[in-house]
Amino acid sequence: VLLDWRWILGVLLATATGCAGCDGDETTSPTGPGSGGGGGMGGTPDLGPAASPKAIVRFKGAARLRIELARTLDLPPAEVCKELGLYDCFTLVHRVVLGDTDAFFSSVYEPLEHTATTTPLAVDRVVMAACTNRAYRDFGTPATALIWSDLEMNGQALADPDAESVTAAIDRLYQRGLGRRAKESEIDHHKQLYADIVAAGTSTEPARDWATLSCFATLTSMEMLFY
Amino acid sequence: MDKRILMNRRRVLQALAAATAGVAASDTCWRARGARAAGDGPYFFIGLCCFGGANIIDSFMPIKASEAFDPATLDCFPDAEVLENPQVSPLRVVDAKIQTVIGLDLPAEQTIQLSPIVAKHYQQTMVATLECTSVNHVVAQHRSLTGGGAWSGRTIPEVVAQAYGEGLPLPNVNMATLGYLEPGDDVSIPTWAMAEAVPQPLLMPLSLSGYRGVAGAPQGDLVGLARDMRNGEIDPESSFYQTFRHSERLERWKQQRSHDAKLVEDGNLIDKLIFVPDVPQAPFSQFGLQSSEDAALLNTVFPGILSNEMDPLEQQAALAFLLLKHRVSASVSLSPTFAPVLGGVPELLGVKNPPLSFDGAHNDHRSAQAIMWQRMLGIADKLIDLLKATPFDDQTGESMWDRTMIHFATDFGRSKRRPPDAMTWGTAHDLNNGTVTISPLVNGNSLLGGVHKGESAELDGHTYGFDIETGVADPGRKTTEAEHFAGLVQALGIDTSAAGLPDVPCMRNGG
Repeated sequence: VLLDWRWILGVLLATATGCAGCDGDETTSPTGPGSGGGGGMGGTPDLGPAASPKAIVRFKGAARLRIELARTLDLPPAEVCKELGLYDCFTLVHRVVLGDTDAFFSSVYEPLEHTATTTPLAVDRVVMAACTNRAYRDFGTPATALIWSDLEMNGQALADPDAESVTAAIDRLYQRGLGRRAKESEIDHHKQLYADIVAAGTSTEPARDWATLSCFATLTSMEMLFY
Repeated sequence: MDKRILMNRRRVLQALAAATAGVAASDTCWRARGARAAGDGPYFFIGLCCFGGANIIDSFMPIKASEAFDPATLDCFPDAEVLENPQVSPLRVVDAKIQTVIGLDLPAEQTIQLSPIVAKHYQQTMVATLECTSVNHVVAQHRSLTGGGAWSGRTIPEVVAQAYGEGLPLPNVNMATLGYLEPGDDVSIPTWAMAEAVPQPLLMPLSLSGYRGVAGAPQGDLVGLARDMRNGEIDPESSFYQTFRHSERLERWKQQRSHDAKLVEDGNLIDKLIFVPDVPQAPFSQFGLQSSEDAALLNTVFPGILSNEMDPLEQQAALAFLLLKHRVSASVSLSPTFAPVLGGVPELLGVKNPPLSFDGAHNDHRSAQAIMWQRMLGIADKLIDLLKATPFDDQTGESMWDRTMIHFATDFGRSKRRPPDAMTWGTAHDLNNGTVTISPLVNGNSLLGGVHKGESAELDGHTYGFDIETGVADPGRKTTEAEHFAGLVQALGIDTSAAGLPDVPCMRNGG
């Protein structure tokens, strides 16, 4: 009987401890695992999501990435990224380094076992092309903008970087790309990025550059690239 | 008929003799330079992977018909097609006459010459027999680079990259395919020494920057701000990362993103490695990019780069040169593929690279082997010339070639027999073979092992081994993959004692 009680107590304790990690509400998550922040109700330390013991993730690869970028940014797949305006990034130029096979043109019959040194650069490149494409379309025809809509402009800059419309645009980006709402901290980071771009003083079109780079940072995040 | 193909035989023999005389005089100096270099790195490795099975008795160890037990049924050559000068070199070479290509009749008989290239480089050419262990393409290709798993399964390019490539942007670039592209089996090899696959050399430089050349992309300093936010805030704070924070793949990604790829991008390699001039099919300047300063030279040396039938092997060779010249890589691997390449001379029906490359021997052995050997040796010849003209160290006067090894890796050999008196026939895969290595680092002008001839119909055409210390031919031995691997790696100045590999001094210069 004593053993049974000890077992039940153990289960209860483990469940209570794990709950902080199981919480799906990301807006209340701490700044990092093991941060020791006292955010939980009733003084329970919020340790952030529990680490997966198996930690098995996979890189999405060229074909999945292309489809997801096309869907997220509502671009025809063939227009997501073309190198030199001529060659499709996903089916030709970066296909293998992005983790797909290429039997017909390169006799590569199996995907790479690991992401390669240049894979992050190829990812940055294809996402940059896609985000640039979307930003040009949205800023070019604001009336039909998909993500960067309703932004009040002051010349080439945002009229009010803290405006609700800016928050809404960031949130749209997250919902379309990552399938969830942006956390407050994430929105703050994106707004800070705008401030940093303006402070750098090198951009002649800070609003559009910010939109491109916000999109770029979000869609090259690990959450986007791995599953 | 193409005069290049019909080069005067007497001139070739004269060139061979003249070159030999020159080498005899300078032989001492040349050997001393190689010996000093051993163990004193860095050294560079070029794997010329002979996709499909390059048969050594169709190039450097040909058998004359007069030497064969049964010439009618052996893969041998009319005596006049086999060139040699035993007084100056143990190497032979064949200038084969062919009447067909991929089984199709040619308008006229053609001679596929290997001798001009061999005459130029034989002093630094080592031919070593080899008995491999698989006749499956993928398995055999992989074993040709791992020595049959001799050193915990690591490949020669991985060994070279680990020894001499640390800190280089892309220490091990692999443009080859199939088994030649597979990583080694040694999990202890650091990720930076593992091969970077490059299937599209022409456009590969575009993957060396995350934003340059992307139309409308913000400037680099602004991209840096976004990356800082992503790497320092967005990713570490995400529930996804926190949940999978122990993932090896994510750890690798972080390392590659923040260090390895950054090294590549910061080196501005995109401007150094574009090897074609601005052309309509590659309008780099329209996207703010520029060609390498060597682009014009490379397109002269490798005219097939941008021709109508863009030659992938020439593109690989051009990129290989730039990767070595700019010290981007310590090892580069090249290979043709199963795919044919046209655009060759009309006398050969335009076939520059037969379908299946060396494996086209299933269909038409003699022409596939002859054309492919000439093609691979031609690529090596051009690379050697380019590397000789590229300084390694202005102080010592060394060129890049003084520190480079070109190894003709191959899947396996081919079967030795043919139907009686056939000039066009097909061959199968065979474990028995040999390989060619050209380098100042190896025991040049040497033939290690030998080939059976005039003994019996069954034995003729099969190679035999050698004493791995002295290099003396031994008909009772077969050279193993591990011995072969050890000899090459040791010639590159790499200590193999930890791997327990045999010492093979006869394969290294000054050994």
